[in-house]
Amino acid sequence: MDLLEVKSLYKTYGSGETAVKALKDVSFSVPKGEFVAVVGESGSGKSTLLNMIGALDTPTSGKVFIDGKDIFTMKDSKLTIFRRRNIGFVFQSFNLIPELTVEQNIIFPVLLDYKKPDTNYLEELLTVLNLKERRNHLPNQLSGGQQQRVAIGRALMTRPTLILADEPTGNLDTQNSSEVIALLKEASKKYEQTIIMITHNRSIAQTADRILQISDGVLTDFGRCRE
Amino acid sequence: MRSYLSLIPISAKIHKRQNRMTLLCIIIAVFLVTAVFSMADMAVRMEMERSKQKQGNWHIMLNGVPEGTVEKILERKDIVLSSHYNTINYKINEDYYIDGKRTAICGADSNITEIIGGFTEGRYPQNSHETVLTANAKTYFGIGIGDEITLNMPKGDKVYVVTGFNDDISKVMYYDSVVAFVNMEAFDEITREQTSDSAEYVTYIRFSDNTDIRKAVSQIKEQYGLTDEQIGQNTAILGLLGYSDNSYVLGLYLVAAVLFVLILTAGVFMIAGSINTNVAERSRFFGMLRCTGASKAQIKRFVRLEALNWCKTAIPVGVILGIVITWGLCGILRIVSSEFSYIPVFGVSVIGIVCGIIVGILTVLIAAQSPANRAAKVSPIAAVSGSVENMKRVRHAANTKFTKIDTALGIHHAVSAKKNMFLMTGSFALSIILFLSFSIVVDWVNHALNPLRPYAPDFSVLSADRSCSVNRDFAEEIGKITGVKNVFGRMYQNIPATINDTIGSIDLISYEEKQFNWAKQDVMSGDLSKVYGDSNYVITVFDKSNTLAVGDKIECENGTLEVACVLSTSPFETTEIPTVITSEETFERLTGQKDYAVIDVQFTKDVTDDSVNQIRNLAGEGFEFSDRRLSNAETKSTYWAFSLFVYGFLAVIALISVFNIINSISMSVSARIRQYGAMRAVGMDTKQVSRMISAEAATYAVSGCFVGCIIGLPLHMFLFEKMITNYFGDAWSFPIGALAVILALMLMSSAAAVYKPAKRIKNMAVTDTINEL
Repeated sequence: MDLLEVKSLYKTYGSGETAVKALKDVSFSVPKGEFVAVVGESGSGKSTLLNMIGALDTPTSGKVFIDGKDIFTMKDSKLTIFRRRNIGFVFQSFNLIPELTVEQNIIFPVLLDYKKPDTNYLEELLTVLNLKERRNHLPNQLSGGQQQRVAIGRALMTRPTLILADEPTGNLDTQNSSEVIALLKEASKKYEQTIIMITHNRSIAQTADRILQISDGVLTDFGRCRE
Repeated sequence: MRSYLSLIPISAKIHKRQNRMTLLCIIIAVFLVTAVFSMADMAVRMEMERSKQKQGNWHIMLNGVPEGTVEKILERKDIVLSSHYNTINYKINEDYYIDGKRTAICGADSNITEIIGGFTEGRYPQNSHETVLTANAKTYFGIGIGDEITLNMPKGDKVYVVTGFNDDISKVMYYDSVVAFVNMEAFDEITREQTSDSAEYVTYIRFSDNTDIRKAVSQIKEQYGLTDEQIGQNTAILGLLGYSDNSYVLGLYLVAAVLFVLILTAGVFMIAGSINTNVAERSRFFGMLRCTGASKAQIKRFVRLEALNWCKTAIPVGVILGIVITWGLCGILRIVSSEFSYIPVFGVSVIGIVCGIIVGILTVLIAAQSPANRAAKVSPIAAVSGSVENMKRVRHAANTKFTKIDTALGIHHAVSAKKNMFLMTGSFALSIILFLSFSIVVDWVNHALNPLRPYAPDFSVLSADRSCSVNRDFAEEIGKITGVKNVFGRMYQNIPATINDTIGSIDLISYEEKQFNWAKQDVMSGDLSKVYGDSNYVITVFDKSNTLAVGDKIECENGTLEVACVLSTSPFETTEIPTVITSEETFERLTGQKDYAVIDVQFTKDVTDDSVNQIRNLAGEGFEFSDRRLSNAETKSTYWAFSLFVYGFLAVIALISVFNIINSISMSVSARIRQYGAMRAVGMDTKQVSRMISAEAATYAVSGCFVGCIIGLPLHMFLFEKMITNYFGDAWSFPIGALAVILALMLMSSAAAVYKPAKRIKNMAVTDTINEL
């Protein structure tokens, strides 16, 4: 069964003559554990699509199913909890909480659920992310690459089924970029997580299982890449 | 667009929501100042009218100046009116009577009717056989205009024709006496016959409206070599006109100036907070301006002009609101209380309006200074990378071990920004301190103005020689008269006594049930209930010269008395002799007296003069009366005016605190809006966001209230002891009421402060903040 199913998604900003159609009849589905790259020009509608899938924004029409659940039928409060538990976000500018340490930032979504974090899993993540020695550091004491690794750790902590990454390497140099992508791929395999990643970088896109291109709001599926 | 400054109105249109708060703040500041100063102006006009009625409409008075000099002085062009005036039996203690009533005799020329108000009926005496009497004479003697009265004087009687009446004066009513006005010819005659001297007059002088009276007075003094004693000043009117050099009046001006500065400071505080919020919310906009080439100086000018642009709408609205509210308040005061009959209803105060405009522009300009600098400091990078991030400033991580993550973050947000924490704590604390300090003034008013005490009588019947000779049954009879609310009597006798081995005397006074009940509120120490019935226990009244304390023994002829209770205050004037209060039963046993020395009467609001006359008639001969209705009303109006002012100021303090709290929280949220967006994206729900902001607000509130109490309570105690304990004897007690009011207000406004930003975040799409990344 597909983990993610997008059906005839439309999104229009504004109305009348000034209306901008950001997404036009976008439909696709992604099976569990697949690593998908979304490419496209600036302003093509990539981020809009990602925001729809992550339930951060609502479409003009169309549906998004995650794990068989129609996310736009959920009430706001329920949707927040659903998002917290099932979707992990990685942003271009990291968006870490400056007042929290590396460790606190990673376990933040669990704390929001008022639950105790799984310490074994946390240790495992810190090891995988190579952040063990930095666990008590604040974000402003880290390099860009390290900050992005913390953000990935935060996205993985709740063991979500879906990870959405919006230009995760946009602010990083080449070496850090490849490290981050390797980490995401590793996670996708190890924890059977579905990853949808927006990128400008063609070579990074090539490392994905599958490439989707958006151009003027219309989606084209380039299909699976060669291993 | 002609210059970059043309952006201001365009930007104002787009940022309507952000601007609303700032506009509101300026409107409130202008409104408060206009209303406070207009009300003060109206109060001054009311007092002026009342002073004219009470003390006369004159500016200076020449006393003991030779007649020739007086004539020369009166030739000055700036003098519009003068009148010669003198009084015989001013203290109402000499033997001048009309039909048994003590009488004061005033001699003056007809100009006096312009100086002293109230000549409403008939005309002023034109020859030496005519007189005008105070209106109470009509009821005392049953006379009218054209009737004859006989003035009994120590050296012979005289008959006069009544030509008119003058409104009653409270002092005249208090002493149950009459005033007879005669012309100068008649007065000269009386003086010659009664004292064998020629009459000497004082000269009242009124200057024209635009005269600099202070200058005129010093000119007169210098020119004619007059001393301070020879030129008396009408302090009340000159003070209200702003010409007095009297130190008390100068003190009042100082208080007004301090209040003006306080309001100005509070206004700056409030508006600066609001403009700061506004700037913080638009740091990207300023970054963008910097990016596109605006210099720091241009940004500063932009913010300042933008602030002045708000004045364009805010000041007229504030001023109009201030005027309308002043009208409303004056109207209500006139309806609610007859004491405010002199207050103008639709008066427009130029002073109020000018002050409102000045304060509006001044506060906005001063308040815009710091935000302008702040805006100029926004780095052009802010426009590129999003809002001004405070990542670099964080030094310590939030403690998530003991509290939930949302609460922990909220507390951390408050505590981590030290300067902001200090300002917020200071702002909360300052409000509490000001409120507590000002609440003492309310206590002071309650203590200082005696007629407001529950036992303050409206009318008293006294035995002429202060002996116990007013029959007790008479009290019961008075109680039956319509319009009488309460009647209570007291026995009185000065008896020899030995206190702590010192031989002397005590003023023994009896209380009945009503007076005991009222006394309960004034108990400073001891047990009042011991004194009831026939006992050897007594009450004494606190006074600096009275050393009696609970447990002290008083030896007197018929037994030994023990002080069971000390009261902080009583209706009696303090003398060297200690006041000792007993029950009626004890008093009877000790002195053998059964009747009252004085009967006090309290009336209902709708009492008529008929009821008062009925009491006089019932009493018959041999008693003295004291009608305090008019003087009580005067004191009550002073109390009302004072309370209005004190409570008005308290309300201003409270309102400014509320706005400041709301602004500061809103500003803190604005600075972190992007972070909140990110938190929401990774799964924080709106309730948790609210809880986080609440925790931040609560941290400010708790620390502010704590510091406010730590400083405010000892200060309250100190001021209370200085203003109340030293004079009235009341010991300081924990100001639970005032503290509860201000703390509740602080907590409520903190809660209200959370509501709006939380709602804003809730209504904002997550993508609004995320898309800016």
